[in-house]
Amino acid sequence: MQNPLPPIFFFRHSFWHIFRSPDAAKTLSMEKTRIVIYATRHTLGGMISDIIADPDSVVAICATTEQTVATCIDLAPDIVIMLSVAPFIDGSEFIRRIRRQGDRRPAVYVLSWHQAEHIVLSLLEAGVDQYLTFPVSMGRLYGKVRSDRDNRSRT
Amino acid sequence: MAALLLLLAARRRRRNAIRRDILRRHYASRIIAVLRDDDLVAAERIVARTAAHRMALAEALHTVVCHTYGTDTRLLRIMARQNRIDRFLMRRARLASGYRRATFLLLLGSAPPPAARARRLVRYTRSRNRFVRIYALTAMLAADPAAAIHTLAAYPYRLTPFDITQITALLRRGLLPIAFEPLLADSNPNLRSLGLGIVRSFGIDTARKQVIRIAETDDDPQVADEAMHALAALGHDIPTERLRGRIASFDAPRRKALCRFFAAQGYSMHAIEEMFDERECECARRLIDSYKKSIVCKSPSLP
Repeated sequence: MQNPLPPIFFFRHSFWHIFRSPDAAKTLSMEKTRIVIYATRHTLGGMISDIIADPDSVVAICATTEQTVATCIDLAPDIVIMLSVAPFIDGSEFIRRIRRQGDRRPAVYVLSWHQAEHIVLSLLEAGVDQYLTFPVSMGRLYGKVRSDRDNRSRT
Repeated sequence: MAALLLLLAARRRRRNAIRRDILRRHYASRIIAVLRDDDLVAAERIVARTAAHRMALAEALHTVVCHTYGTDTRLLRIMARQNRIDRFLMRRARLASGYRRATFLLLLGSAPPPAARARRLVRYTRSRNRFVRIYALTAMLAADPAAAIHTLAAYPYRLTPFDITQITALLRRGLLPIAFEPLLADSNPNLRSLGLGIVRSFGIDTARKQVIRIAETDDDPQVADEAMHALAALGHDIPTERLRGRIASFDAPRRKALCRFFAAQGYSMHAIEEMFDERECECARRLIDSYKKSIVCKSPSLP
């Protein structure tokens, strides 16, 4: 059943600017790193958001695959973090829907409990940029997101 | 009238669930902020006075502890101890039964009591409910890691594969000071199973010879089966000649499950045919050629 609630946005800086005008959100979000998190469990998605968020980022949490795809099309994120492998094996062709042909953006990170080599290889072949297993180091996850952002700002 | 009451009860349950979710999210956010900033003062400010708040804090602690490693356990202990989360959960576990008791014991593994108080959990390791048993065991291991081997050796039931994954999860978090080599040579089948689980979970190639020896010679068929699974998971060449006889001594369901596992790990049909009968190989061939082959195998079976 599709979640009727809109994705939850967490702005770590100048929260009140968002509601000044309909375009303020887009203007503000264009200057910052945009991150979309797909998590079926709200607490876990919020936890990952708290780990990686800082004043230079905008994080949106989505609960369903369709919501994630719609948010990615709308927000044009820099990084998408998936906390489940279900969108990659249910036939929904998730990567193809959020990326243009031949483009490696947004970067897709998957955090999951799976450790089997063939599952990890299949995800990497499907277009995932980084696969991390739980339990994850908070500092390492934040460092990866930050280095991806620094690389992006240099290019 | 009954339908209306049911509807009202369902709405109330949903409202309570949303409230609990918001509370849990609130505490998880504060815990992450404390861990990120290494803020002892903020840790001492996290207070849960009511039962609902304590439960939300326990669940938030559990989410953070399960999904992260390398965090400052001192800060987590301060948050748990000053709110007496361990006493709260032990009291709730005592008053509950069945799966609800298992839930409280599961949460207790992330906010463990002092070692002396954790001995009261021993009685739960003899429960008829397997989830109560394993979560009581993991709570005891988390409370007193130094006595982990003694606690595991005294466990009165056989460890299932699920139990072993729960214990290796503690290892992944860096909680248990256990080495796998002494476990593989121990006389207790539970400890041998745990050693094999560690080899399989962490992909320890250096243990291959010991695992082959256990697969060939162990008296316990369950341990020998787990050794086969560990060997297949390591992904190296299988000494098929030496193992064929041992596999033939297994019962049919065990042989079939093992055959499917070898196929799922990507072994060739040639290697599988050397160890299993034609009927079992047919199951492997069907799995490899199924629509899932792009997930389970990198190449289709040869005709």
